[in-house]
Amino acid sequence: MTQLSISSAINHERLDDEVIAINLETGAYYAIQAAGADCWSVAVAGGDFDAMVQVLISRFEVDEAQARTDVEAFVASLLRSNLASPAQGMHSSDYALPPRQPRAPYAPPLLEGFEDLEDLLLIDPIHEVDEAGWPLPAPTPER
Amino acid sequence: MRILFLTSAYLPDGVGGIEMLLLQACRLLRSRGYTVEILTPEAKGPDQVEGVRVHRLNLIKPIQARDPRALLAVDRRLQEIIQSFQATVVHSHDMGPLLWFYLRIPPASTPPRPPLIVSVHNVMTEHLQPHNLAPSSFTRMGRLLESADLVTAVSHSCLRDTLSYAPSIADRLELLPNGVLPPRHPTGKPDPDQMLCVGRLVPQKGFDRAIEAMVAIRAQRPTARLLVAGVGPEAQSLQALVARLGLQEAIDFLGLLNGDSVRQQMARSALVLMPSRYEGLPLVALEAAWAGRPVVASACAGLNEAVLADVTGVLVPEGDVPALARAALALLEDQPRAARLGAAARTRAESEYSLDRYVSNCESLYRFVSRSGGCAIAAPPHSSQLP
Repeated sequence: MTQLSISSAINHERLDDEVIAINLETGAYYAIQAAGADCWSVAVAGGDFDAMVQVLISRFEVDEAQARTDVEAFVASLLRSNLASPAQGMHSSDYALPPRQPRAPYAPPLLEGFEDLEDLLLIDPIHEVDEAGWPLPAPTPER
Repeated sequence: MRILFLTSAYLPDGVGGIEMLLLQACRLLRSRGYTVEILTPEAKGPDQVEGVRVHRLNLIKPIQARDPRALLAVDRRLQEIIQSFQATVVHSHDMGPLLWFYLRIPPASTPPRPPLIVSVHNVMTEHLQPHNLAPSSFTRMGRLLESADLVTAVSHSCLRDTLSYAPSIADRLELLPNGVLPPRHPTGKPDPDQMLCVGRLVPQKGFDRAIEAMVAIRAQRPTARLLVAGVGPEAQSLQALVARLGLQEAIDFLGLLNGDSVRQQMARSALVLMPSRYEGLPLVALEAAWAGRPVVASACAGLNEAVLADVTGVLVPEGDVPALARAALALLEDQPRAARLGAAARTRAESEYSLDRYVSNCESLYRFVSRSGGCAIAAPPHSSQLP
């Protein structure tokens, strides 16, 4: 596989060391931290598998073999979750990565998925009302 | 000690039971030297209520809009609040997106995430039944509770229900009944024709049943009246029901009342009607008890603990409108019996449902989880050991 294309249904944002991605069609919510966020940024900029591995090696305390294994698993999870698909296209080497101390402590890139974040709105007993929020203004007494 | 309450909504004079409980608990905790702040996902409202800081995170709309940028902003704001307030204990009232976001903060962050208590105020399996949620949602709720250092439930019904979807928390689940303030003024003689419904105008409360019961009650006692205090999404349909049944002269909608006004209306009423479909441990029933007024209620979860049948009120089968009408009418026609039930309710409230007792129990739990460091609590104090 060469590059990844982020699905058009995915709305995503990176802040510092975290990416949040939301599938606009299903509402599924994903969080990606640190090494995973770097891999995501590489993918967004059109970088390929090898570029992700190189970014991890240069920025984290991890050897190449380990980085390759972990990136492979991470990319597989992106494909499985329909966040991305294999692609070929323009390549940029500007990944817009935030500054990080060289060889930072490493944790494998991980995709955390939460399928039903919006169900939490139902779990909260008070949010059984419309989007105007609770409570509504007091109605005028009938009599 | 610094306590951060997480709650779905927080507005002065809010009609929600949890809001009322927290408003009163804040007052008492502060008088005992605690610093209290509130964190709520309800974006609109004042930033301070009676000197208590209210942090409002606009969390609901970004979730509904599926907006990752706004969610990240909320997430960072939440972390800032947690870091700056440095709570000794975080006490979440019910579960929802706010608790979920709070738990995204790693326990070993700097400073460490404070110990967490979650109070479950509702019979969630009943509450979520109309939404037909997938079993995974209950698993999600169970996981939220598993992340807490201590979980409390407001009633035995609530406690049993909580264990049904979070069995693994049995060793850290406590009963913590709600409490309310006694009325400020002595309760006078009630109007023998006046009945009262108080609460959010939502299907759960079953106020439609109280309105339907009024047809039979008025047939026997044409002077009987019903006041409905509260606001909510069912307001229009309830008013339409009143019109359809020709009860405009018998039923008044009072809108949103503050706590004092609710207590005044209770004092003036002969009885309180609570035809709910389910409850946790409703404050309205406890307030009625403090006012010395009997409650005619559904024998549903939560209410069958707040009201002792034929001791502090009358319980009728849930959904049985004719039985509700008969029970209410019988009490209106037998004021001495209503007074006896009301007096017994007051006696029970004084011993079991005072705000002072509730806050003292909270204090015990706060001391316990803060001493335990907030992790891997193995043996919480049992409610029988609480003051």
